[in-house]
Amino acid sequence: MSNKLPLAVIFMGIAYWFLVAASPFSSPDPVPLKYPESWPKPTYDFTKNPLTRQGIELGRRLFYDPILSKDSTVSCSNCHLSYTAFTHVDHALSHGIHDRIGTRNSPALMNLAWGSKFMWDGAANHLDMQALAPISSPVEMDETIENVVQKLGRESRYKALFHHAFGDSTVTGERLLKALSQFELNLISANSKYDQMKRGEAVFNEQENKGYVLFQNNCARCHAEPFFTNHGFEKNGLPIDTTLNDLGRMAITQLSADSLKFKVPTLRNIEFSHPYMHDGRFRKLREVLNHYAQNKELGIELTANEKVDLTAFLLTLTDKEFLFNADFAFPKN
Amino acid sequence: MPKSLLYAWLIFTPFILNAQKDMTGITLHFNPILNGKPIQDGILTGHINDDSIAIHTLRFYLGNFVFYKNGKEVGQDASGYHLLDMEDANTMTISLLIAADYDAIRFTLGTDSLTNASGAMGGDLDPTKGMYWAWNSGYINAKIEGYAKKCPTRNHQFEFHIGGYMPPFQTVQQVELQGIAKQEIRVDMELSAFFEQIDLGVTHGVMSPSATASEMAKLLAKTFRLHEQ
Ligand code: HEC
Ligand code: HEC
Repeated sequence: MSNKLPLAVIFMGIAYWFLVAASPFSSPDPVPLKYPESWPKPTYDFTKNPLTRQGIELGRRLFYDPILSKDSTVSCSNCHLSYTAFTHVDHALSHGIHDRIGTRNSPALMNLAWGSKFMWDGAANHLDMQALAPISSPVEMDETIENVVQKLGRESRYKALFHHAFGDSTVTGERLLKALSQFELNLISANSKYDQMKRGEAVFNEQENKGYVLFQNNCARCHAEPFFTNHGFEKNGLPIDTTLNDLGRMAITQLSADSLKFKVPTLRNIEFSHPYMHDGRFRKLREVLNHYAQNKELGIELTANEKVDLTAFLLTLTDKEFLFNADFAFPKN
Repeated sequence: MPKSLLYAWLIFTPFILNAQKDMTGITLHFNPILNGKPIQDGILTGHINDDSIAIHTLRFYLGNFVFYKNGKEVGQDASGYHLLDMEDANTMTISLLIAADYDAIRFTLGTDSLTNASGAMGGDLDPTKGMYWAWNSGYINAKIEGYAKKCPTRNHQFEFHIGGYMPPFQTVQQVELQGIAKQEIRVDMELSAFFEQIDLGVTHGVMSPSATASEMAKLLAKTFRLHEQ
């Protein structure tokens, strides 16, 4: 008896160490965020939500699962489709549950780890908290986060996924939001012809080069490289649509100086993310350039030839690897 | 029990008690009242400004407890934010452990700006607690809802969701309680101090950061006071 007890304790200690502490299955696998060396450090604080393979996988399933909506008909991907840079292609104003139509065009989703304010007016102050808006919007998913957490907690499949991602199977609002963020943070577009040119792996033709110069002179102060957005809020001279009366940033800051300012959208994959602008008023890039071509407010003037050159440059921002990345698409199994 | 153990117990008990005294705990009971009347059947009722008022919802965050002795800081609590909910008596009592002798406490009513912009958080700050705005990021620092005869709204309801962390419409407030002599204290929240300053015939809905919300946060902070024995 006297020496059996310590032995048993030691044995149990070793067993515990093998089963729990050292088990390769018990803690999720960290995944580094892969992005070009020349890019700045992300603004997202990964210490609060470290990327893991299991976290991204859970987030991906949630992103594609209509369980997040009230009647299980609408998922995030309804309005953010991977093949079109995660925007709602062909829909000027995104529509959600029961085909109710919202008041804004769904933005393309990529390189979100460098953003600090989200939505056209910056209403969401953090990527994690952004998802609360579509989940609870009556024209989008019309659900509550409380209810989503309960629904997920009843599904053994999700309990297992939460366990893999967070170490136990409890579903909480915090974890749900962090998992969605992990999937979205992982959506990095950095392999367009423009990126390859920057890395010396591709060369621009003459037209693309001319377009690049025009871009730098006229557009880059707002659509700043390498993200093609300065992440700020600007007025680009669009007249207000009086059927929507969307004042943009002013709705959040309540400062009249912010009236008609909208978040500068990225131009990466712009070829695929039509229609354009916060209300999707332009269907073609041509229309966008016509808007900018004689813009006294911004002091931009573009000739017909310059518009062609500029378009050639904008098309170098298409990243096929991003658009057709199987890891970003609907999870098959 | 063997005798030796009993002796040991007798000898050491005073030391154990003493050790606990060094690690002073404090238990704060928050007690919402209206014109001195406590909650009855889950609601507060009273007559204020010639109006009959019934409050059925009162939820708010408290946090950042700092302890003072003779005006000097002697300790801080690190337990984060606590969500107090009038409907759930358990949440209305907060127990904190603090290794110091103190005579005053300071805490915040509401969450600070860093907390409002740091992404998803758990526990009492989890967004499933119903205290986070979906369309304009930020915590609702306090919810006060109920009925008043003068409210020209459907069912005479008023709904105040008080929050906002960006200047100029911040809502976080400092509250200070002085002259604390005991480890278990009762803190009254006399809500008449809040409602006396509001014309419910005019102001009955606050749903986003605004000057009114900031003003209400100040009024709510003034309702806290030590219960007179
Ligand atoms: C009904 C269509 C719809 C659904 C469903 C939807 N979104 Fe969106 N999404 C939008 C629209 C429209 C906006 C722009 C809203 C605004 O600016 O007010 C947007 C904006 C965003 C943004 C901000 C991007 C930026 O750069 O500012 C993110 C991130 C996002 N959505 C993620 C999601 C996630 C995650 C889900 C699922 C939980 C989701 N969306 C569901 C339409 C939708
Ligand atoms: C003063 C800042 C500014 C300048 C300069 C500027 N833009 Fe923009 N751009 C914006 C803003 C802000 C928006 C979003 C406006 C809105 O939706 O109301 C935008 C939207 C766009 C869009 C639509 C993107 C989408 O996903 O809907 C395109 C394309 C675009 N700009 C291209 C250009 C080009 C090309 C130039 C140069 C000729 C340029 N911009 C110059 C600020 C600017």
